[in-house]
Amino acid sequence: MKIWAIAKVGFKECLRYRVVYFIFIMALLFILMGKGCNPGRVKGDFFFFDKDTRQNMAMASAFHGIVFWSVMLCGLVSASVLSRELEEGTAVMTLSRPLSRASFVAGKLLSILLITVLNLFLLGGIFFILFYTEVGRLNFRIFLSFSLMIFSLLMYALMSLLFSLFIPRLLTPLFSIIIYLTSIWTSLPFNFQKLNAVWEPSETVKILHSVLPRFGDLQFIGASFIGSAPPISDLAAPFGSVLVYCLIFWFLIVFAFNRKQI
Amino acid sequence: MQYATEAEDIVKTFGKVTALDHVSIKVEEGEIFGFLGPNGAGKSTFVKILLNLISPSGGTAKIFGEVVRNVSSRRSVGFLPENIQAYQFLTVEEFMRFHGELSGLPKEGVKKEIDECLNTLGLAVERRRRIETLSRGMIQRVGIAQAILGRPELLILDEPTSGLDPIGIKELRNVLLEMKHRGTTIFLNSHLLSEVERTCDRIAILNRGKIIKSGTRSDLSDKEKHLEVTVEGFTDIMAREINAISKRPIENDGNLLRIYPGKEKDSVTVHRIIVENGGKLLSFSWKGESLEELFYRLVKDENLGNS
Repeated sequence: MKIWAIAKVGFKECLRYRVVYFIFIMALLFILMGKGCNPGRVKGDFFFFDKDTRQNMAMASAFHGIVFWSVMLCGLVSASVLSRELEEGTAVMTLSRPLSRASFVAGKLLSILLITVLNLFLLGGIFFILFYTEVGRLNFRIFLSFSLMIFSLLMYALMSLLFSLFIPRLLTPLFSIIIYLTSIWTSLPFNFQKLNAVWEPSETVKILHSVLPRFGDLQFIGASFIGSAPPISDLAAPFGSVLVYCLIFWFLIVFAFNRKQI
Repeated sequence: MQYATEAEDIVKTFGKVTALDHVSIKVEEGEIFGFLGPNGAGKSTFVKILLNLISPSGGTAKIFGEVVRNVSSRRSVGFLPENIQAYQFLTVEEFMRFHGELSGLPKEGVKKEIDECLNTLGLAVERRRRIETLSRGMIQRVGIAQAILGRPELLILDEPTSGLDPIGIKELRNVLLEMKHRGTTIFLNSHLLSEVERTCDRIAILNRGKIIKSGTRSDLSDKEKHLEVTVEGFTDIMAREINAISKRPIENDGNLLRIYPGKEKDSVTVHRIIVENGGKLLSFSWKGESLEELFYRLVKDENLGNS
């Protein structure tokens, strides 16, 4: 399996990036801070949220935090894997072998997914244990939510890989995160009933929501598996968008990479 | 006839710069083909086109009859680039295994192949060392080892002697001759003229993106066969008479003259002209040009002609 061979080496290479450990530690601190900065127990039912809702909110916050750091990691790693190969010339020997450029990109993509999904589930596992020690309840649904995020990370990795072929390596994560955050923001009124009741989105927000890759929808659907409130969005539209965007990004990457002079 | 490498009318431009200008080369199966040229002549660009690392602006290139755009054209090609950029964090063995997997070598045979290549290049004891800890010469050996992994039918080497010590160069020469003996075609890009002269069956000289000479070593040598004569009392009259029967003007370096008679029998006339005009002959012999002399002369002539 040539793609697997590329992915294995790519994964090893990613493990050498300091940013991988930096992001992991930052996210870990974020989780531990949530525990350490806990203001204390609320006696009885708080007038606004009941106990279950509060726990679900805490879990959803942690979920969004972990996903954010994983997305950051995915963007930073994706910005480097192909561009480094081209800048440092390591792709020359690899591509002189009977290997298509599409297989090469697929191997690199797989290595990005391996490192980011590993990061996601490690952090998710740590949070799962912390949540158990705090609340005394096991919530396996959090892993279902994280599994859903693999699609989001795949789309994000493809988008960042595409950008890395055209813009400087340092700017790629910035461009990607802007699109991600815009997508999250434009998804808000479409995913929360209470918010939807008070916020009538403008035409610009509606257009951006339908045109941009739907990272936000996917993330809120993921979070909804943890919480009790179901999302407004149906599953078909965001998953359709993910599929279409993944295909578009993939074909553009292969098209552009095939034309690269190595 | 199927050629190991066949390039037809290759043109490559980078903006306004023409790196390759209608280059056509045919390398027969089983031969060692030397590709010579000064820095910036376009040799590495040509090699990259053969490996589909860059696409030509015009013309077609084939490897064993398959156009280089097809991935399968590289199924039995070993390649050593000019500047080896390997994954520094891999050990020598991991690096070799990686290239074995990419070449599609069967899993059960790959270890034996790796052992054989590492032993041939004297790298067996270094197999567990990371590439980043190796010296320049050792990295070059690792590059050669990966190129010969899986016994490719075509071996493309771009400056293989770069960074090697004399022992390494001698070992490399033996490896190449052994590979040729097994039937491997070798395409050798090199600056090291003495190595090319010793090992190559055919040679092409590239300058400023154009092939300025090609042929077998003896072809090139015969074409530039000349008389080397040492004379005392050489005069302008002698020079005029000799130039009249020569294909090129006399080159003189003090008493030493290089004369290029049109025909071999004209050497008698040259002898007569010198003696009859009172010259004193100290030596008189036929000489072939060394590859180095040929290379410098051709490149110099070409550059003077272009400027």
